[in-house]
Amino acid sequence: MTDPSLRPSRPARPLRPSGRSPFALPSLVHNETTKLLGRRRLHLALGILLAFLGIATWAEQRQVDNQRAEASASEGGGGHDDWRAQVRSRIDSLERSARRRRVFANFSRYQRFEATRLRYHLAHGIDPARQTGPAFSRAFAALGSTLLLPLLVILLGADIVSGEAAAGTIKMLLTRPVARSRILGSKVVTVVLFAGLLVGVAAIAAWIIGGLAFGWRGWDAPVFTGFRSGADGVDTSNVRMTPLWLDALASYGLAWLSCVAVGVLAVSFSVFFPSSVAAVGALMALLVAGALLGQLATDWAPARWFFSTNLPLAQFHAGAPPPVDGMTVGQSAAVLCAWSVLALGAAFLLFGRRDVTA
Amino acid sequence: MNDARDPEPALVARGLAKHYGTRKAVTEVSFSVRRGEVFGFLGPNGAGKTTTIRMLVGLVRPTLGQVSVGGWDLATARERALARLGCIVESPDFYGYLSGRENLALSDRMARLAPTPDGPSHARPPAGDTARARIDAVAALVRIGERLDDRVATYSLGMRQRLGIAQALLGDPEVLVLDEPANGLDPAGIFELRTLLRRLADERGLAVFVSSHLLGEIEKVCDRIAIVHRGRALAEGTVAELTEGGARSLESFFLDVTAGETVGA
Repeated sequence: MTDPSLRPSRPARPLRPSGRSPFALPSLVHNETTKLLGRRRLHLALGILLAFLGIATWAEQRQVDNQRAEASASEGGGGHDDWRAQVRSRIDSLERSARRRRVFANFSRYQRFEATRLRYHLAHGIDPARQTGPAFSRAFAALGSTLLLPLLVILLGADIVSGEAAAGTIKMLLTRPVARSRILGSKVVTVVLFAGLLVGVAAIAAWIIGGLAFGWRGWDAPVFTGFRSGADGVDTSNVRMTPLWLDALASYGLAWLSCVAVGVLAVSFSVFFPSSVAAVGALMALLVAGALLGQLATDWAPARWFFSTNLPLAQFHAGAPPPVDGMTVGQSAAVLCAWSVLALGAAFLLFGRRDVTA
Repeated sequence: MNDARDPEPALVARGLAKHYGTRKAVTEVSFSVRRGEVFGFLGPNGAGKTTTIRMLVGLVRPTLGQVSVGGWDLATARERALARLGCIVESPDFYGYLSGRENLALSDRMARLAPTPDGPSHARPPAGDTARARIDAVAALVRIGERLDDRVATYSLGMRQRLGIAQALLGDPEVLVLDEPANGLDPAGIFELRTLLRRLADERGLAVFVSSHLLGEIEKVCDRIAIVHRGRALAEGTVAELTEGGARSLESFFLDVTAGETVGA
């Protein structure tokens, strides 16, 4: 390294007409976007998303119809206050079964949360079963952020490095005059941008598709948020009534956070695993394990430090019990960020130093 | 442009070695390639050619030794060194779902990110120096003009070799490193490649490094040759020097050297 003849001594050739662009990242992100769109991954992800929304709307529509039919059958076509009686009997049955059975702790927890939420609706005279396009969209943030949206983000990002290694194009990518860290950085930025796009499309598409079935109005309807798990069941000290649009915004913000965390993890795994199949398998196992832990290990406190138990942020923000007692939205967001930063740091270290023999 | 008189070689490998644990893929490889010269890197399969090339282009970190490109050390001034180098490693791999033009555009965008010798310069490129013009120019040089907008997945290996050379030329390099560039080319294509490599060296003053196991091809196009065997560069010289002025064939010299009987030049 100290050989003087190897030192940069001369520009023997004229300077290049155009030098280093101050906008290096945009042009690398441009490249990554070209590749992502060329592989039609975004098309596939959006197709799956829209198909799912269609099916979910159809199923929800049937449920609403059934409830209406039941109500008119039992009340003999009663007045507009039917729903109060229905909600009361639902609360009764929820509380009865929550007291009776303690085998599945998580299930009785859910029942208690739901009963509490319904009481608030009853007290404020708001029909909880009234479905609208905006309400459907808000509910989808919570529903989608557990598995569907993270899986679609994995589809976008989990082979973004290993795929290049498998195709041999990584040789072209890493022999250009650009630092490896910038290459990886541009891939992370691209996946994060597309994860955001996916969440945004999900919000709007859920509203439009749900609106076809239930009507597009209702963004200013009130909703109750802030249910927490407390020492003796449900802690209601923080419950607030907010307009639906504001809460939908918060829910999709949290869904976005979950998706960004999954995207960052997916890119990191595509660095760790030479095979795309291994990376996708590991990520899916992680998501499913998190979902299972959330169902089974609600009393096991360390589960709250796992990556994927924290993904349904939007879900427990919306009033469902958190996967583990005592988890809060803020803490979960912090845990997701910590794992992302850790994985990304390891990925940058590895990617910057690793020999490319593919 | 032609800097054939420049005393400093454009590509220098000094004492390159690569160890994987106890296995030594490359033990000691040194050579230098001057501007305006086509340099042949000959060796049997498994001699360490590919590992050496990967060290030359910054894909593999040498255990020992150093590489400099256009005077810039690859280890300490990686981006500046790579800005002066174009390469094909092993096989020309592209994004098959994109067209040739789109693939070249990706490469061109990256080449524009290169640092200049005196740090960032924000000078505007001269009029007419657009990405499209640069891509058309290199595509014309390797004659893939009419297929440029087809998806690369539909290209033959020969077409991908041409696209690979076009891609390697995009950053306006001083050094070209080509790994078995004649693979997949028909005899006419090989002749054309030979003519192109000579033109790049003679007219543009490029230092061209070509690896091959095809003695005949190397002999026809190269000014100088290095023979590598079992991770070691055994001989370096002009074809005339190695064949003792034509007294013996390059083939017999090559066989002798790789059999470990002679250590020539």
